[in-house]
Amino acid sequence: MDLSYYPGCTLKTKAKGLEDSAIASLNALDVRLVEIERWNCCGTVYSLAEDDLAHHLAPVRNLIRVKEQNGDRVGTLCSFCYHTLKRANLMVRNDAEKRKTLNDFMEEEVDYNGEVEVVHLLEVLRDEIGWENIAAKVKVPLKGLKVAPYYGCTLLRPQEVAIDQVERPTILHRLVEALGAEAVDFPFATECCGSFQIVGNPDAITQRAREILSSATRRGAEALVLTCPLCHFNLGQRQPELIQQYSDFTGVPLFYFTQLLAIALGIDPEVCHFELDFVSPLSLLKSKNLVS
Amino acid sequence: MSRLGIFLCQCSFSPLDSDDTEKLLTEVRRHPDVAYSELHPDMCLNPSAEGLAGVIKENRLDGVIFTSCSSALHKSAFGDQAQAAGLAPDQFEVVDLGQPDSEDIIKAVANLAARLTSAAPAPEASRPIIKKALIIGGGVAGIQAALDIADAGYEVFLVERSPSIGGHMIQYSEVFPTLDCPQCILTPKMVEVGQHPNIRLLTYSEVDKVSGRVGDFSVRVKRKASYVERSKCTGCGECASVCPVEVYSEYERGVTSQKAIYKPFGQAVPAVFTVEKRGISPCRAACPAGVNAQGYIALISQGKFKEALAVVRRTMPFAGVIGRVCTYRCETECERKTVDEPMAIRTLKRFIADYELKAGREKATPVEKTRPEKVAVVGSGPAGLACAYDLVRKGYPVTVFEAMPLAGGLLRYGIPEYRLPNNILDNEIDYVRELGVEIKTDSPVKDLSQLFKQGYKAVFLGTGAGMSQKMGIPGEETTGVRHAIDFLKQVNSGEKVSLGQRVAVIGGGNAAVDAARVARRLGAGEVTMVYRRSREEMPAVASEVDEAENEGVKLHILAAPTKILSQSSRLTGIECIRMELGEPDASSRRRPIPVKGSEFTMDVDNVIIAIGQVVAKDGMPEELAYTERGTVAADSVTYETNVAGVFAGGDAVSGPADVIGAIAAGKEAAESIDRYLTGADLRQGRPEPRNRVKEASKEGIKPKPRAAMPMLDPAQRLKSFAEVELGFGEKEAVAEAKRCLNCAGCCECLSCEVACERQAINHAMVDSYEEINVGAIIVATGFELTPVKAIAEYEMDPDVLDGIQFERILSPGGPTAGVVLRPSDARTPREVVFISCVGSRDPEHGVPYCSRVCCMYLAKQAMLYKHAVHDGQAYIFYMDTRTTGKGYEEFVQRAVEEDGVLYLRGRVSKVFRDGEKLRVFGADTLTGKKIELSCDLVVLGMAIVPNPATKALMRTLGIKTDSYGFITEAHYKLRPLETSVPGIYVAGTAQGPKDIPDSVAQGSGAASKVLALFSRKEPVLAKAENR
Repeated sequence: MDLSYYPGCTLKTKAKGLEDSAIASLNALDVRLVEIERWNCCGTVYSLAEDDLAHHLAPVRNLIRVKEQNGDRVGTLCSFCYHTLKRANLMVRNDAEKRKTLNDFMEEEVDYNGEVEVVHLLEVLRDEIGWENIAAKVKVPLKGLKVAPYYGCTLLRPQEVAIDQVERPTILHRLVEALGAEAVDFPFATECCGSFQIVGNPDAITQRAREILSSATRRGAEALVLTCPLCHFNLGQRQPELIQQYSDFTGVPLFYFTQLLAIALGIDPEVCHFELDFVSPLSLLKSKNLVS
Repeated sequence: MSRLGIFLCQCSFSPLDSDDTEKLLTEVRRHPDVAYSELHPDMCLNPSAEGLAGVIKENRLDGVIFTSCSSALHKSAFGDQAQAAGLAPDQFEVVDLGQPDSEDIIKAVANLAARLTSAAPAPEASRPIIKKALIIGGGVAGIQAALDIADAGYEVFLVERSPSIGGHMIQYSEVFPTLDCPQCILTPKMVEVGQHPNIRLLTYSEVDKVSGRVGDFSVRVKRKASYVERSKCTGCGECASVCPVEVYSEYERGVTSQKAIYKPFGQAVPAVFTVEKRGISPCRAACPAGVNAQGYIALISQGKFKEALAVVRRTMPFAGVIGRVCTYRCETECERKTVDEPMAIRTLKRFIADYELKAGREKATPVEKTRPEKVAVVGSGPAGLACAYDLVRKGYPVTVFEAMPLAGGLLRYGIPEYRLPNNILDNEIDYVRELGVEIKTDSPVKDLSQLFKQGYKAVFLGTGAGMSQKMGIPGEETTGVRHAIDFLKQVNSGEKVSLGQRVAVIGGGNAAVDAARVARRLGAGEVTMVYRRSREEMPAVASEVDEAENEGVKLHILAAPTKILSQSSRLTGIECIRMELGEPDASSRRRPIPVKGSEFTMDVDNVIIAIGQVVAKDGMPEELAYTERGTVAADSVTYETNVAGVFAGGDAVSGPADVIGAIAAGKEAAESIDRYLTGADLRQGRPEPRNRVKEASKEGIKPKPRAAMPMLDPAQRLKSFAEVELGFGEKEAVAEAKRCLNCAGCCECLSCEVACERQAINHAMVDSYEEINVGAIIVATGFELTPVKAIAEYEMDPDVLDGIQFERILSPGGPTAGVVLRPSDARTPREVVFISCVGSRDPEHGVPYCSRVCCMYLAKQAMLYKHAVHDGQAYIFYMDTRTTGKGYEEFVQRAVEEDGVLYLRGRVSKVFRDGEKLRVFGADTLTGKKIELSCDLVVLGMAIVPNPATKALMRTLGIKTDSYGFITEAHYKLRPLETSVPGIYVAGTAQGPKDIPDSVAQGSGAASKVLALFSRKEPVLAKAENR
């Protein structure tokens, strides 16, 4: 199966591990990710201002690219990209007036009426490949690994773009279990990581990260698994400081879901780019004999 | 052709404007039968002016349609006019102008015309009213209604689903705003209901079917089997004290459990016990012989090992044998596996047998021979002995003929001692003997017809499949080639058997594994099992294969021998070919296919062939029919053969199979033989249906790993034939037995039967049905709370309770005797958070309405908590506090001012456990601040919904409900106690959330409606309602 794929900017830089591990593991599951051509920034956040249509040009233009390249859907990996594209797409579908204004403004582009479906790759894993098929392809069962699924907010809120139950999502749990690891439930799984507050108020993020990470470790998690480069950054980048500040905090490795997938499918861990991590998961993986 | 009249309402409140009404009139007039029509400006205000009746008479109308804003309100007034004009009830209709759409009326006109034309309207026969009432639901509303009607002198049937009346109210601690206890104020009423000469109390019963109409309803009541004769039960509780099974307690709402035989609470009315049965447990249903695993496990959990063994012996004599060699299909089905791992059922069974043997078994008492017909059993393997065991207990003289010097068949000669020690087998065969079965060893039966000549009236053939199958490859006759079954027989008989250093065992079944492990014990250094499929397909018990490997046996899978190699008639090795797996075959295992040119050789000194066994035909009557597979042809249900009086089962019929299957066959054959000899139908009611419990509740079950089997150290094993599996000790067995989920509820250990001095318990009871006739029905089926788990953002935790659960903890008669302790650790909660509007006023969770009583009962609970824990702190998260009853606002003010309950306006987004504390995230919308609280206990004011169990009942009654399931009144404001069906009334929370005073008022109100109906002088003229 071929799937049009929108990477977004962080996947080419800080979150390279998310992209490369996704491409490699989906290949192993017979899904080829075809990067769309001439993509631009997703817009990073959905504009909630009524009259700020210009903000929606970026996401809609990306959807136009997919349409031009004969795609009827586009897969995303970054939670923010998913969120922004999906919501902009729903707006185009549901608001005729805004749709017309956008199309009139982008007169050089083909008209866009919401023809493209925006999906997150977790949905593809669940709905099209299926946990059982994934489990059947696992070469290195992640036995003995206790991972806490961390969902953050943009995959689940608001309801109309949620890829799972809003209050008690299970999609990452099911993936982790299909890979042979133990999913550790913890109460902060759907709490916000602090998002862009990192720019103006890094101390608030430090406290947030501490609360989220220690809540997971108190429930027995050895690592977190997540989908979003910003969550990954906020929860990862503050850890050296936390280790310094709190004697009882020893660091928690973070995995993108595709990294766990790649390890379990027996793919060379190089695609995971663990060298980009603030807390490398390699020693944990080695201690469980999951990588050599 | 009839003459129809149409009276269209056109008052200023009509939902139709005048244009629409005119249009409607024009359309209606098109119908050929319409002889008269008019627009009426004030039909309902002044119906008798000029008299609609006069108009009807004058125009000789034989059918009339009125339109109105509400047929519920106006039907009777218009009906009076029609009847005054001499029309029968089915000659007029009142149609609602509900929607601005004329279709309903056009349709009504056509229907009425058709009805009047098709048959001359027969005047409705007047019917006398049956002056008896049915009340469905024994909560406070139903109790009130029942007493009011009964006190007025009419007979009342009160049907209650659960074993006692009292409803939810009797679960509460103290009730607002007066803080009196329901035990004090409600129990007198309950007792009165129980003793009232005019009330027939039908508890543990459900309304199953309703027909008829107002004044004359026929009702079928299902009286669920309670397994206790109500008339004999004194409520003494001896039964519950011996019951080994704990189940969910509906009355205590899971705060504590109750026994499977229970009286819901001390003051229950009627004061009788009920047994909770949910069907046959999965383990028992999975057992071919139907051994009651849940039964003996429950008794083991109580340390009643002797009684547990008696439960096994009700089915078969081989607890010790089967506890060692069974293929344990029960464990595959065990529900516990969905929590962690299945129960160690087999080893528990073995434990009770070993326990008895160690303690010294008392000699069994012989069973009295009550039947004259002698029965012969040929073969003393598991099938034969199981058959003999059942027959001797039925009173038949049974003789078992065994060709070998010792009894036991394959159990003795096929299974090595390290798996099944001889003393275990001897003990259980002795037990069968002591019951009166005669076992003649060294007695091969040469000719069956001789048995009949000797006076045996029936014969069971349990001769097994004792001949080894040949492989059909070159060299098979070479010295050094052994057949597993002969090899094992020699070893088990104590003959000296010598093997070379290198042994190949061909096959993957249990006999192959046994042979390989025996070979190791006889000193063979290198034992290899050669099997043509992969390890997953091996028919042997997986744990046995593991143990074989632990003992140094090697596996060579996906290979099959093609030739036995020899030099000067001495075996030197085998040639094998590699296999690969193709498509699944008839056995649904993947078929092995040889890989061309992949032959290889193995150097070995001996080859043991274990690829299967076949049935020997020596000594069998010539006319006996066989299947294509060479097994004895016997009926799959009755085990009859084609020879009259001859039955067969076990491996002789099935081919090589497991021991428990052979026991099952022997038992079924015994049943057939009994029926055959008593002249009963062999097939009737067979095979007995097994109502397997589909799923057991696992709520609140914490994972606990299965007890591991203690094993003999592998280094020790090869030195002797000492038993490898060592079995459980007492402590381990009890702990393991306590993991059982008791899927079936009652485990049918029958301990209660023994304990009950009045012999009131009858485990064979079945549901019965009772027909009653009543003139009126009151529905008072009450409410339920939405389950806590529906609110995904609040973590399921033993210390997160719903309102009724906390009532139980506050109740002086509750599980903590009124001392406020939290369930997780029985400590006093220092801080308690109450959350109101959980699920209510929350369209996202499906309940947009207000549940009306939560504000009050949470204030009350906070107050009672403070009265019990003076230094505790109660918080209440609220949206608004609704105190709309008499004395209610003052009550809440008291909670705030006198008891210091802290009210926080805002909703709670998250509740979760954090170590010993629970954490609550919420908001204070008055200050606009986020709130995070740590507390010890959380109480949720869950939404009130109609009792979900009553959904089907509403359909049975044919009454309308709203989209939430609450009963719709005939008119929202003016006929609040009547349902959409005449003669059926509603009271209490079945109509909508309400408090106790309102429920009681409605109970009395509905009763007075019924009494008004009963006191009519003239018979009721009732129109048949369409259901």
